[in-house]
Amino acid sequence: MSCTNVQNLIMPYLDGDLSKDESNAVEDHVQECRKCARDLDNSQYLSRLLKDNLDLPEAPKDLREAVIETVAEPGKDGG
Amino acid sequence: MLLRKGKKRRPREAEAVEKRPMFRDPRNFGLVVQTYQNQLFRYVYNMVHDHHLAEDLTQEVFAKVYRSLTSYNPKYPFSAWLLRIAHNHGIDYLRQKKLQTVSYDSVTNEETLHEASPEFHDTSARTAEDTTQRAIIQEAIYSLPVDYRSVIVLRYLGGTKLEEIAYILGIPMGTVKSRINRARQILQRLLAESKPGTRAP
Repeated sequence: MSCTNVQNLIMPYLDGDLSKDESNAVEDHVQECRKCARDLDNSQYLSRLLKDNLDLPEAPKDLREAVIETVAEPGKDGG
Repeated sequence: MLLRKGKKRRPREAEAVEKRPMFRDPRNFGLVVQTYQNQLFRYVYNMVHDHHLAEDLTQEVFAKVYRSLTSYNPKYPFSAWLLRIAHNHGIDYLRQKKLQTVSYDSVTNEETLHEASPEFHDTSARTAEDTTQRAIIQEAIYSLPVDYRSVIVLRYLGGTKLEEIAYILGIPMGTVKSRINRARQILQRLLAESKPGTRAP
């Protein structure tokens, strides 16, 4: 497998979207290729950063009541 | 194509909402809001990065959902349908207000991206997960154009499947994959540039 092919498969590899054969091919390649191994390492780190650091704000407490009030009044929601 | 196979793992709310008449009662619709409000609010917030604005837009999204219940197609997950409405509403707002983020032409160029393979972390930096790092990462995410930010948020905030992302954003699967790849490359570059002492491409 070429470096270009491996580059394209790194993200689906990390997301578990590859077949067993494709995963094995990526793993075999990075054993031998230092550049692709580094890219895989970087990508793995980025995935973890994204999962750990995306904003997860809670919905405002009064959102539910505000929506019910809006949809209960004909015309108020603009529809 | 996002056809559901059987009823396995189908959310109870998705089945219930197919009995549309009961949700035409605003009091019952509160169950839908209760169930999905955090998911929708987080998605909209990550689009506009403003708490009060996200609150207003999410409220409008639920009003749209309420008016559109009869058009829900049960072959798609209910949550994906809601996110699709939220995304379209958010995009409409951003276009109207011209809040689309700056073009990233200079860094989304394919050749530039494939050449860019920065070491944006080092072993010692991995232990330095503090609020500063969090702020840097979030700033990088919010600096992405909304088309790229959307795929990142859907993929990494909710673990949304690629097929569902395609449905939510109304784009082909191939475009989803390329946008995720490009977004990740942009983020790697931004993070490498923001970290002193690391090698920028």
